[in-house]
Parts: sequence; structure tokens; C-alpha cells
Amino acid sequence: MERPHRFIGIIGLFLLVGFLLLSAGCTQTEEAPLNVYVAAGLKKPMDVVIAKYTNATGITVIPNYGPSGGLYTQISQGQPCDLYYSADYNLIEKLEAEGKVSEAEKFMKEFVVMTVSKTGQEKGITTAANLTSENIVVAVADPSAPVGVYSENVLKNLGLWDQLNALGNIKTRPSTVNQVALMVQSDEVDAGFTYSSTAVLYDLVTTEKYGYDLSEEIVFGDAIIKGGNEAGAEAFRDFVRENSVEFTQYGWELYA
Amino acid sequence: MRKVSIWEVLFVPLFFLLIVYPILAIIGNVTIEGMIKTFDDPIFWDSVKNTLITAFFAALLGVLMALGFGYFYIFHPGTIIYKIADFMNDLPIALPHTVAGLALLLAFGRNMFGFIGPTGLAFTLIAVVLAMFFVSYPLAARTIASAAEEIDKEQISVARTLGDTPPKAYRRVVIPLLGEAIFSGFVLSFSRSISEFAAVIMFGGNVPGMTQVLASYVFTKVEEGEVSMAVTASAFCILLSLMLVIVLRLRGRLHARSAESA
Amino acid sequence: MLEAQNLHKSFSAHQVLKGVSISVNPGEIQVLIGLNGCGKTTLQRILTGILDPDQGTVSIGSVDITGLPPEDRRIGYVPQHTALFKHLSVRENILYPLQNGRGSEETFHKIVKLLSLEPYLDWKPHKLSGGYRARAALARALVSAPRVMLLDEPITEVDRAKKEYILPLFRDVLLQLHIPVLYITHDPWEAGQIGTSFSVMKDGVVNRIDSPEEAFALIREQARSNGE
Repeated sequence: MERPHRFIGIIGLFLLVGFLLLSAGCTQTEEAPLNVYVAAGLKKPMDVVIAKYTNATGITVIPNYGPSGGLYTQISQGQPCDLYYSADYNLIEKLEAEGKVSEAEKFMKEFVVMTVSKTGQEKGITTAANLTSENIVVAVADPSAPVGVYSENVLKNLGLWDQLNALGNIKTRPSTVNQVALMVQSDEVDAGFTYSSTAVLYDLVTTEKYGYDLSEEIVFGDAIIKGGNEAGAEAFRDFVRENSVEFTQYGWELYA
Repeated sequence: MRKVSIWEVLFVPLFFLLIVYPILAIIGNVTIEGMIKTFDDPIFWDSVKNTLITAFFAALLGVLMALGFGYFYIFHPGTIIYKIADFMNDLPIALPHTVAGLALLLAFGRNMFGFIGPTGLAFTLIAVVLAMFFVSYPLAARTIASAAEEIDKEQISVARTLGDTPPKAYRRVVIPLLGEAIFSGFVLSFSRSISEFAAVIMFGGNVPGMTQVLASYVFTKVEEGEVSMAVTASAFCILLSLMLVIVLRLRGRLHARSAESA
Repeated sequence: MLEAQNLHKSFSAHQVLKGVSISVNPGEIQVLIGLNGCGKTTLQRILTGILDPDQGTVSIGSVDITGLPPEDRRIGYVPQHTALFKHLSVRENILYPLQNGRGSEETFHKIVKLLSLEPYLDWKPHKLSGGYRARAALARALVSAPRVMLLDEPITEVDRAKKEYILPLFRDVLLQLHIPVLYITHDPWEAGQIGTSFSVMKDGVVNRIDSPEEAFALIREQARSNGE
């Protein structure tokens, strides 16, 4: 073969091999890595549990962290996932309706809280009604993150949502609960609505915790996805339950 | 039969598969129902308006800054400021966009710029412009810098012997010669700004109707499960970009034709 | 009078100018002959002010201009590839110095006439032939009311046949100005056509010679020692 053609042949070969390796991913063998899709808010404790699991069993767990809605879309579109941890049980019910779930359970209870930054505390913010004063800066997650929907519920049920929007006090709608927490932590806003666990994780001051009558039931759930490594997923899920203290220390309550 | 080269065999199908097909997938999935829902949504039109205005100013700022950089490149290439700027030109592109957004927030938010208002510069349309500028400036800078490299430096030397101070020579000789590059730098920055997303959300605020841009609108609709609306908004985006590219091409062709006939 | 005294210039380890001294009187067209690569361009850049010398001075009359930027030197410069402004017409090119308060409409008309550029004033430079581009570049420099003229191989792009009548034309026009003119070229024949005095650049210095033919000899010698 001529020189340039040989060069191209080699590149083509590399591409082909690379492609095959990538798509081969995890074949169903005992030591196959586990694909776990996890809501972003669970990252810290989940990382710890994953490390423990790999140490104990030698099995690699590959977590995919993201907003629960985005993860739902990926699973719904057929992306390979063995186990799904969602911050919104509704999404798991959606997957069940689509016939994609082999076994699902409610895992933990979560609550929406109002966290207040340093400046917010100086401004005397203790309850949601305080937010309707002038020049208050509030962060509420975008509805693409479940916490955003729940926060909206709380504010609507408190009769404050329309007023806050009219005043323009909701200055930012970030796309994840962690971003909201970050903004409260760095004092770029006066108050932000997060999960109670997020507040603990980020060491934020919580002034109000809202019941399900205001926010609607917030249940973190897990679902073993049909057609994936169901045995492996079940083993890991049980391990997570056994190690739930890693989670409850952040304020979550187990859904008994 | 003519022997077909390996380039023709590989390129054509790959190009259609990887580039054209996904775009067609979006356009093909547009439904009447989706179009009605989307075009009825005032938030959609707000995001379109916000996006176009902010991207325009971001691109304008980008081009002006790139021209400033060009000045240093031509007249003061030995200085520290030029060397730093040259090095930094490529930095924003290397930064993950949420990091860029966070950086802008910490730099221009109320902790440093509190004297401007309760949120500093953050969570305003100006913030959106700044975020877009931050990520798209490197494109304008590179376009203009490489065009500046191509300029015959003798023309500048001659202009100076005819009495032009460096700023005058830059204005009267360099900028007209950069002509095309300025325009394409603007269009590149504008396109990049339209598609910016993560940095804008972090720093701009993403409040529907106020600081939400089209890219984020699409994202939210996807996450909400409103796929038909997301598809319509995306197709709209694609059409916008397509029009921009066509404008660029037409100008390029017109310019070439006028240069020949003049 | 244009004078350069003892100019030194090095780039990295390579010393290009090793003590160049030049003097050109008003009304003199001194042709500096040198092979390509001998340092002519460096010298030209120092004289126009684009580059600073490591050592040495440049003066016009009794005024030391070594520290002055190009825009303050009042040197009329015609570069090797004319460097006409591509985005402007010939007329706009030649009138360019007027925006800086140099020259006048009167001078413009006079010079345009002398160089027969009237039919081409509204043309864009790239449409002109090499000979007319050279004329336009010269006109532009002349209109700026220079105290000194510096031409660096200005007719490189002109056909040899046309050089035979363009050179005398340039010579006439330049002599009329009665200012010092330094004309740089590598072509001894060209030198003979336009110059009133001659010098040669070799080994980083400049020396006066009596005739271009001497330059032929020196150049042949240099080429031989370069192993050609």
C-alpha cells in the first residue's frame, strides 16, 4: 500500500478499535462495573458508600451524577443504567409506567428548607414572609431540578409566589440544588431554598423547614432498571441501605 | 471509472451521519402542537429577545476588545501586557462553563461589587452579556489576531512616515484592512454567545422572562418533559444559526466580487 | 543633509550593522548597492524610525532624530513592494498625508502631473501595473513634503523594459526636490541609471565608491567567497 493510504488505514484501525472498546463497555460478567445514575444532591454520601463497596467487593461502580430529570430522560431514552437514585419519586413512577423498572422502593424522606446567608441573617430573615421586603435576593432552583418544583409548591402554598415574582426578588434560578447552596454559602444571595440535607452538606443556616402539606411528599427513591445488571444492582442497593447512616447523618430520614 | 479516493469514501457518509443527521433529527421532530405551544408561550419570546440583545452586545464587546488586542499585537508585541493577553486569550475556552460562571459570580457578585446594587452585577442582563462575552471573546480575538498577522506591515510603516501616530495608523489602515475578519469575528462570537448556557445560568440568573436565554429555555423544557416545546425552540435556534452562517457566506462572496470588479 | 553616524545593530548573536555611516547632501541621489541579506532592510528601518539602533545616531540637518518616531521624522519612504493602501483609491493614497497636515492640493496636482498619474486616480492599486504602482507610491511620499527621501528597491515589480524610462523620470522628479535622496538597490545597472553618487554595503559597513561598476566587482568577489 502507498504511504498515505497506510497511514489512513492505521488511523481507521485505531478509530475502529476505540469505538469497539467504548461500545463494548460492560458486558455481563461477574466483575462488570455497575452503572448507577444518582441525583446530584446525593453525591457526597454516595461517593463514600461507593468507595466502601468497591473496597469490600472489588466491583467497580460508575456513578452518573446529575439532575434527576436529566437522568430520567437518559434512562427513558435507553441509556444503559443498572440502578437509579432519584430525588423525585414521581420520576421513578414515570419509568415504571414506561415498563422500565424491575423493582423500585422509596428510600429516604427529604424536606425543603429555607437557608439564609450571612447577609440574609443581618437583614433579619427568619421566615419566608420576610422575603417580600425590598432589596431581598432569593435563589430558587429552576423547575428542571425537582427541588425547584418543590420550592415553588411551598411558596405558592404560602401565598408568596406571585408576590415574590412581581417584586422581582427571585433573582436567580440555578439548575441544581448544589448551585443554590453555593450561592447561599458564598453570600451572593440572602436566602435560598434547598433540601435539608443540602443545608447540612454545605454547612448553611436553616431557618425554616416545610412539611409535606406545603411542598408535597418528597421521597428519594431507588429503582433497579430492567434489562441491566439486575443482580449487581440489587446487591449494591442493599449495601447502600446497610450503610444508610452515611446518608442520615446529613439529615435525611429513612422512609421506613 | 474514475478511481475514488479514500477521502471521498470516508468523509461523505461520516459527515452526513455525524453532522447533518442530528440537525435533521431535530427539525424532523417538530410538531404543529409543539410549535403552537411554544409560540404561544411569552416566556419563549422573552428568551428569544433577551438572547438576541445580549448576544449582540457580547459580540460587539468581544470585537472591540479583540481590536484592542490587535493594537497591542501590532505596535507593542514586546510588552508584558501583550504577552499576558496573548496567553489569556485561549484561557476562557479551556475553562468548564460552570467554572467560568462561578468565577464571574464571585468576581462581580455583591461581595465585590455590592456598591452597584443588592446583587452586584450578578443576575442582571449585563451579567448575561458579560458571561457570553467571557466565553466568546477568544473566538473574536483569534479571528482578528490571525488576520492582523496577515497584514503587510509595510503599509503601517509607510502610514507612519506619512505622519500617522500609531493610533491613527491603526484606525485608518489596519482596521479597514481587517474588515472581513471583524465581521466574521462578530458573527462567530454572536453564534457562540447564543449557545452559551451554563455560565449564563450561574452568573446571569436564568429567571424566566427576565434573564433567561434561549439555550436555557430549551434545557428547562427538556428537563420538564416538554419535549415538543424543546424541539421547537431548538429548531428555532438552528434556523437562527443557519441564517447567521448564510449571512456570513453571502458577505464573503459579495466582498470577493467587489474586490475583483472595483 | 541626511547623516547616519556609526550605526550598530545586532539581532540575537548576529551583528548586522557594524558601524554604518552615511551622508547624503541635498540634491544628491546616493545609491546604496548591496546584496540581498547584507543588512539594507535593517538600515532602512533604522532610518525610517521603525527600529532603534543599538548604537549610533541619525540626523537630518543638524537635528538628531535618532529618538524620534517615524511620524515625526518627515522622511518620504517608498518601500520595496510599494505598500499602497489596498482599501483606498490611488487618489486617496496620494492625498493621505494631507490628513496629517502635510502637503497641499497644489503639490498633489503638480506631482500627479509629473508622474502622469491623472488617468488612474480613481483606480484601486491592485488594478495598476507595476510601473504605475511605483509611480503612485513615489507620488504619495513626495506629497508629504519630506525633508529626505528614502527609496528601498522601489521598482522591483516593474518590467525591465519599463525600467528604462521610469528611472530617468524618477531621477528628474527627485532632483527637482533638491533634498537628500537615498536609493537602495541590489542592481548596479539600476544604480547607474538613477544615481548621482554611489556607495556599497558589505560586511555590515557602508563605503563610498566612484561608480556602479566598482560595485559589480565587489559583488562578484563576495559571491565567489560565498562559494557560488
